[in-house]
Amino acid sequence: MKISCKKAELLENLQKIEGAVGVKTTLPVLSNFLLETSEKNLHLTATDLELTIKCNVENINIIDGGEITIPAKKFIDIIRELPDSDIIIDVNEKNNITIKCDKIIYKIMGLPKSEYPPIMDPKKEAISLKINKATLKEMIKKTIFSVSSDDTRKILTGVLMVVENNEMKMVGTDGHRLAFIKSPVGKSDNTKIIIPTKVLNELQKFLKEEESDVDILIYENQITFKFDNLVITSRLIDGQYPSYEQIINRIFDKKVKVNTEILTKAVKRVSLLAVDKSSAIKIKASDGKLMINATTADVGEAEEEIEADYKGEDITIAFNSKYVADVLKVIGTADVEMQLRDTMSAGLVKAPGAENYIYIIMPVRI
Amino acid sequence: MSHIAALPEELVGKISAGEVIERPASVVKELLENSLDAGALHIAVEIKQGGKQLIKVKDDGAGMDKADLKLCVDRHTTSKIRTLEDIYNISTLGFRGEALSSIAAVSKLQIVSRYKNTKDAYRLTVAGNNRGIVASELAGGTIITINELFYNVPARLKFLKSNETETVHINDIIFKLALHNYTKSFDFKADGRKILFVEGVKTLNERLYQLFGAKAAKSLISVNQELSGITINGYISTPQELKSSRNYIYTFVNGRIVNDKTVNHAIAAGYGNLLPYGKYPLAVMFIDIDRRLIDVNVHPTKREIKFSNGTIVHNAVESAIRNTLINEKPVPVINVPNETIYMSSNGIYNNALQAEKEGGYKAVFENRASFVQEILLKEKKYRLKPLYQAKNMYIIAADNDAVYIIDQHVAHEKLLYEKLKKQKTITGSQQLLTAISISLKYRQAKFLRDNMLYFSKFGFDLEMLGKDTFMINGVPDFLAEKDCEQVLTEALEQLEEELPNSCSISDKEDLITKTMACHSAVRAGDPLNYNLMLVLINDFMECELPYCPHGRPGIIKLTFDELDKKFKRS
Repeated sequence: MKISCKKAELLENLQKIEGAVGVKTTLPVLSNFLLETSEKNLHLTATDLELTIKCNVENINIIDGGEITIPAKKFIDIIRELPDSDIIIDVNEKNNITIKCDKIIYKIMGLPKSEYPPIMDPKKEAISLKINKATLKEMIKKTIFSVSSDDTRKILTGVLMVVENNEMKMVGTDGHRLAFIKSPVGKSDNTKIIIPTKVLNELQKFLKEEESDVDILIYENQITFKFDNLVITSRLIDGQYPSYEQIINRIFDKKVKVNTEILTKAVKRVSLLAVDKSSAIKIKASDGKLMINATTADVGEAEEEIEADYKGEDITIAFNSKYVADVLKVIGTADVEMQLRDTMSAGLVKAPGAENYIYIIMPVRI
Repeated sequence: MSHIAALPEELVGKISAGEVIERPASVVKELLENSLDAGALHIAVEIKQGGKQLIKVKDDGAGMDKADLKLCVDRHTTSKIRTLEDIYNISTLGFRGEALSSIAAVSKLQIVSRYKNTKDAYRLTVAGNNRGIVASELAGGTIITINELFYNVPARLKFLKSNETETVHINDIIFKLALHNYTKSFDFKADGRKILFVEGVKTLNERLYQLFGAKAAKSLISVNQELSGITINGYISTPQELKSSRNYIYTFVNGRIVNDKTVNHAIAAGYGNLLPYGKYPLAVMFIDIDRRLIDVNVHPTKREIKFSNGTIVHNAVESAIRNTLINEKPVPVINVPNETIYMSSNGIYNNALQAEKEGGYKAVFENRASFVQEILLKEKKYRLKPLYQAKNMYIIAADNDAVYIIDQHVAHEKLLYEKLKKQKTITGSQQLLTAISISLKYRQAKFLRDNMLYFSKFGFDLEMLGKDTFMINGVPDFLAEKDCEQVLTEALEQLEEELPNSCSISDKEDLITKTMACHSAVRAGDPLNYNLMLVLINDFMECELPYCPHGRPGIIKLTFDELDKKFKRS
């Protein structure tokens, strides 16, 4: 195989697939990139068997077709350091790779494609749908932070995606709080799957805030996203996701409206003194104001009063401050609405007037 | 006058009964083995007051006729062997001919039985030296009723434990026998309460489902191997699903419940270094071996056996487990749609990547807020600087005087322990979106019921649903990101293993605190970032005693003087 290309072009595309390279893997070849040529294009692949990213590079001068796997980290480091110029990659029949650029020559050892795990077609028919890039990016951002980081509860480490009645819904929860978002999509079959966060993180990186669509294909145990020159495929998490419908349909009789930025800062300041109770902060709503308080025995106490749009009986509730801060970071509106019922019942956070995004937090009993 | 005299028959009976019948559970074991030997398909056990007042075993086995009934309570009478040769080729569970006579010697016994294919049933009653046999009515099988066990051996009676504890022992025996005899149905009631009920099923897998629950049964992998004439069948847990107690290893040799060191060692050896310290697999192993190669006549209760060649057995068990674990490894194949519709795009992703690298690191216990918050304070406060985390287990640190090696698990465990101990108020309880239900083994359920108060003090908001099902409504806030269900069950497993039957309330509270701390702490193998290590080791140094609550040391200090000496600097 022999190709030549521009440095910037190659580097940019290698960075897109870098995230899928296997890190702690028992199969050494997975820490390599797979390079393959077709008639006019170069195809780059990286996989850790869970997540696979393929990238198609045009504007390549293919002198000699072929395929090779190259140690990913070494290769990308080399390309990054090369001057902005033409690069020639030449592979001989013994899998020795020569990388030439101006007067610089690297020689590294590759492994043949035959060592790379076989890439096979999914067996079953796919469900396909299209969604706007910016919408998908927002949906990921507003749910992914709520998932559990505990690997022993595999199901909760992923984000649930439900497609039904021309709506796409995404849910993230760790059992203590839950984020739910929905958005209309085009006609499609109904489905319900759990997507690992790793692939969603990669999507977040490469999805741009533009009008074009992402093609989504859902197979029996995997999902594929296609956009730009990328095909990103991930295995799905197998299992029964807890039923979220009852949780988001709870009833609240007290509504508080506050400025998002003011509340964010107050929570941050007060939680400095919330060491002992795992950052539980107390929120007390009374006519026209919110009182936020944190106390640590033997250390001290912090309290801040902020203006709030509230009328009704006083209510005090304690939440883990991180859970509150997390949603304030992504809500994206000037004001935020908090709905409560009583000290031991869940609280709800949403943008005032909007029903498509709901965040539920369970209180801390103190 | 001679000093030596032959003992009266009755006394001899009581003495030998002492070997076979230790406690109510031994009675149940002997009777159930008889029922199984008699080919029973349905066995029902009923006890009152931990078996002290009443043990009743009902089966639908072959039964006994009048002549057998008369003889069966005499010493050394059995239907299971006839000659000496038979001892070396025993296919039944019993053979010694001691059980019924021993039981009769220490209780008030009644047997009603009807021999298969006959019409008449008979009832035998034995109380001390009084025996009577009369005609009776029974549909089939045998009912044995034992009243007032040890009524004539007050010394033994005094040493029995509480009714609850004796019930636990009886339940253990029935549980184990039910495990092996999965085609039979077992029904166990204590003081009118249903404790265990399983229908007969076709496969062991179904029985595991009945006894251990869906989750555990699903995670088990099956072992089937034959080596050097030894057949091994059963199920073992994957290295991801280990237990904190060795009580989950059940071995049966030719159908006999056996607790054999060779076998236990072989199981552990099969897992090799997949078993971390203090972890044990759940294993149900049926080992079938030529009857002539084992001696079961070693122990009166037949709990122990002798292998004529222990090495072969060890090797067979070890390799069976190892091969099973190796075969379980998934084969790597990836599926990606092959058609490629690409569009080209431009734009540099350097910034996005960089941002991800900096912000993307998720600390192991990011949300264990006691640490997070403290990190906000100035780093200056801390004297000791962590240098390196070796093997994700040990933190290497140094100050001006010495180099320290700290066991991260011990350090965190100790900190949590001190924190929990000092805490006068109740720990905050993070409520759950949906309550989790857990079902426990009888013994653990009892322990949890008895100690609900302590667990709620630690922030577990628990609710009892049935005899062995609990709802977790809230969890300790310091455990926010951990799998609390797992922490709770692991702690219970360990407590079940370690808690002595009688200990003072403060000791018990302390042990529960220790166990909770241990299971909530970071483990060996968890990667920690710099800030977490910083806070962890400095707080640990301030603890009164830098030892783990169980007594393991947590820190090794090498002063520079010592190092100088070691390097022969003078």
